[in-house]
Amino acid sequence: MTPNNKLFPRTMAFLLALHILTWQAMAEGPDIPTLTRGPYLQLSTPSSVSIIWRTVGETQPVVRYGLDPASLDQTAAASSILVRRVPKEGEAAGDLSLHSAPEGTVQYDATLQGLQPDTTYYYAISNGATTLAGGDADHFFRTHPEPGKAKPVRIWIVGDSGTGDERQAAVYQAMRDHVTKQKHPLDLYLHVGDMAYSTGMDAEFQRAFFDVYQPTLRNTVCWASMGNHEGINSKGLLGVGPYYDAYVCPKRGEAGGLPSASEAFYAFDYANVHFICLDSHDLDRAPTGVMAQWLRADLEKTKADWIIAYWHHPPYTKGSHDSDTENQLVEMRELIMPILEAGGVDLVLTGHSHIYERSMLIDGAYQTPTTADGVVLDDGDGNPNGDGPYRKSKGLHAHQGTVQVVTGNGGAKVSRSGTSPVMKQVIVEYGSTILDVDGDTLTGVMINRGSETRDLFGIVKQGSVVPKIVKSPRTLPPYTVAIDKPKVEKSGLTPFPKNAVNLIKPNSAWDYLAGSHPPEKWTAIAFIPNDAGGWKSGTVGIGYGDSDDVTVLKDMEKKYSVVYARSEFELPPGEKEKIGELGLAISYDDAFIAYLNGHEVLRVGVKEGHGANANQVASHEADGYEYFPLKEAKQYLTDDDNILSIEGHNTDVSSSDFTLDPYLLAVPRAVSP
Amino acid sequence: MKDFRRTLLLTAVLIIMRMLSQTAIAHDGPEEVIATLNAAILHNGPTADLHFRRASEFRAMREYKRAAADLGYAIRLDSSMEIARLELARLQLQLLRSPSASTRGVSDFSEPLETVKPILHSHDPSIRIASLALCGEIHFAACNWSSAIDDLSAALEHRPEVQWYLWRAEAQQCNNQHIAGVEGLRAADAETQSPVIKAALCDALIEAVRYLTDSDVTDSDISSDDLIREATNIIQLELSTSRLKSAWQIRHAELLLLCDHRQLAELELHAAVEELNARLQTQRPDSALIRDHARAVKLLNP
Repeated sequence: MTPNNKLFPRTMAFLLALHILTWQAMAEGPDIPTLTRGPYLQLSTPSSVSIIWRTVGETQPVVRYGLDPASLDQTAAASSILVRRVPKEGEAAGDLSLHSAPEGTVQYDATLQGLQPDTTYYYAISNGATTLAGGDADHFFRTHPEPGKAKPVRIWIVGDSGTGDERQAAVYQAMRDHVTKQKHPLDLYLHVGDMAYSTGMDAEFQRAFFDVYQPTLRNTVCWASMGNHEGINSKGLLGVGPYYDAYVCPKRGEAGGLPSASEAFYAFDYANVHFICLDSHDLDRAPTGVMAQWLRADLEKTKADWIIAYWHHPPYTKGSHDSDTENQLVEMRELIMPILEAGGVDLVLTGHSHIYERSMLIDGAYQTPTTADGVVLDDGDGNPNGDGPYRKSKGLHAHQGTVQVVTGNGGAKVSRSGTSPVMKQVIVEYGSTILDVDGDTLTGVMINRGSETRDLFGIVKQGSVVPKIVKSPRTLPPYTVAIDKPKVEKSGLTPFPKNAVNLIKPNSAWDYLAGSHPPEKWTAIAFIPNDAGGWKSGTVGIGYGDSDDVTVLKDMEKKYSVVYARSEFELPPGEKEKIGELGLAISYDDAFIAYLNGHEVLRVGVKEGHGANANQVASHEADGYEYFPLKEAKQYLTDDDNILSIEGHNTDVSSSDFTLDPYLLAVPRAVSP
Repeated sequence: MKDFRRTLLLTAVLIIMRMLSQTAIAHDGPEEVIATLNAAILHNGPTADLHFRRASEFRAMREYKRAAADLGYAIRLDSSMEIARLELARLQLQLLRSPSASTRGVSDFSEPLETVKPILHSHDPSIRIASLALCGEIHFAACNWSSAIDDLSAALEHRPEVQWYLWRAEAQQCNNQHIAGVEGLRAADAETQSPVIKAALCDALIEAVRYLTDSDVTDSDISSDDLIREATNIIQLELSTSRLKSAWQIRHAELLLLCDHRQLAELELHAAVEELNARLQTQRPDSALIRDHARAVKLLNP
């Protein structure tokens, strides 16, 4: 299960404690300002960087920096520090007003200039002579290398992360573990939107973005694109709202690329890569609109080796959103992708759909609905260890193929509704994407929240490649739920027996009762599960969330936590004696109790009680079928009709998912020679 | 004590926000969100906020009429909801511009103008400016050039928005105020440095030269030569720094043709067509490239 409410009491306790401490601090010394956000980095170029932080209460802002953390021998000019405040009561909001920050908040944006390219500097921020943060090895920035110069670049991309819960934290930690293990830190961080659920208010940014990612934000610039949830309180056209308070994006081509005159869409260069960020949410996406015209102009100008574009709404997805039916997604595909591919884009990164999807090498897939016919240039898996990386000509060329990555799996509940025909990888797991660009080679991996590498793809740009449409591309099979669940074989679990037969087949129809409790003897063969009692028939798995159920219980979340299911099976006379072991294969979330002909034969994750009186239900995520031998069950088998009954339990009603997907196995008794 | 109350209030606000986020419909597709909002409207009764949120989802699903109906209902429930009024006026304009409206000959631009009117004097400066600009856009769509110019100029006094500069310049051209259009774009170029403005300025310069040549207008302050020189400088700089040059080659050719340098113009046009052919190698190319290609071919074969 994925308990999205589990953190609530802890979070509230934390918030209360935080505010009591803040109040105490203010009460004890109202003149001692508190650091409430940052410091974090923005808008880095080869010669400059922005350092931003917030305090509650006015300070004398000072930034010291230098090449050695022990010797910060340079100081930013006071005139280079922009100060923004929350308007006082009755005061009109001005250009420098903060949108919805807490009263008394002051935000400082220091722009350090005249820096050396590709150089690491350390920094500290102070209130006069009192250091607020920094002056140590953790507070540093590295200026961009000279544009055009090839240099290994590592980029972290995450989307739809802004829950502030344990899923987001696990995804972030998995990325950090990965880069630590490889001893290869990040150079850039791209966020493809939805970083502050659910309305992008200032407090949500603080809780679900700044508080979570601070260890990275203080030394790596996050280049953000706005999601629809930030768009509720921030407006791209006017450039106002908490999103625009949080980020400083290049409007005047400060970091490479052409001036966009807007922070909603922009470009920047890093080494030999040109990055383009678009606003897919609330700006005109028409080919004649300003954003499209700017994009065309920017593509015409760039001479980088690589072009990576990113925004929120994916042109191709069948995750929690459908790119064939939703306006922003359709328009980004039909109207914006033709401009990008005519300009030589290599990679497109998006979010919005809570899933990881990665395409083949495609070009010209603009029609609705999306089809793979006539648009695939390489139908391989792009894996350097598999079919090999996708290949393109050196330099930038129109219509040589694009790889699309939807990486909206950074924290919000993942789900899947189908398979976009252009995709080669569809992974319904929490995670994020790490890219490495090294000269003529781009490599991407998806790291899930368990720190596993779940996708690997590459693009190599060498020599001259003539793009050719693959006539009958090898596409993924149509999406079906449950049928293709794997058998889980891992340490601590009993391996599946090799010679077992199915007594109850996978994905059979079971009688089930959801939303109420059955009478006491519901597990007995004599019990008749009828409509009047609320019983229904449905194919297992039964449940909701995570897109792994055939019979979906749309009303279960927040209403009830137990589901009862029964399935009969027949054993002709003489058959039960031939069985050596009965076993239950089950994909479950979170716990269950199994009964054979009215007798309890297995209990997993439910400490005591049963039905409505079950207590202490443990959490468990359904990752596939697990095998449980039913050691004492054989004695309860009868000739002819038998009944296997299972009650499935969720930890609590607010759980975001539930699954009960069993089948029954019999291992034949070993015959003596 | 005041601090304590403030802290308590802030904490309460955070608790409520956190609780709302738990029940929020943050992670679903638009169909699910609409279903949830329907249920909320059914059980809790209609509110302006619920209808506004449902309108956003309908809009995402391209159901514009239902979105407009919800926005109208939201305004009826809460007449002070200025953002709903702004969105409704935008949507009404969008519906008027839709192909189906054109087919039916529908062109009553008074409807969005009436919708936006009450918020033209909003206390919120961002709403006020956006409303002014929207009025300009509506007048622009209705070909009321003078009104469009006035409203967009008023909006631009507060905010240097690229799109508003472009609309105003186009309205000025349509109103035969070519030189004013050029001057406005020059100022916009200096203000924004946007390549979109730069291209529009170059186009406006070429158009102004054409206008001065065709209409025999004599203006002591402005000479065609000055305009041609200015346009040539822009074009040369862009050609020398661009990787993909066809758009600027076509502009250059237009200018050369105005100066009767047909041979040089044809060289530029052939180069542009060659580059465009490579970029058009797809089933549904960028419409701007198709337009450029058609323009180049037409100039080659007048």
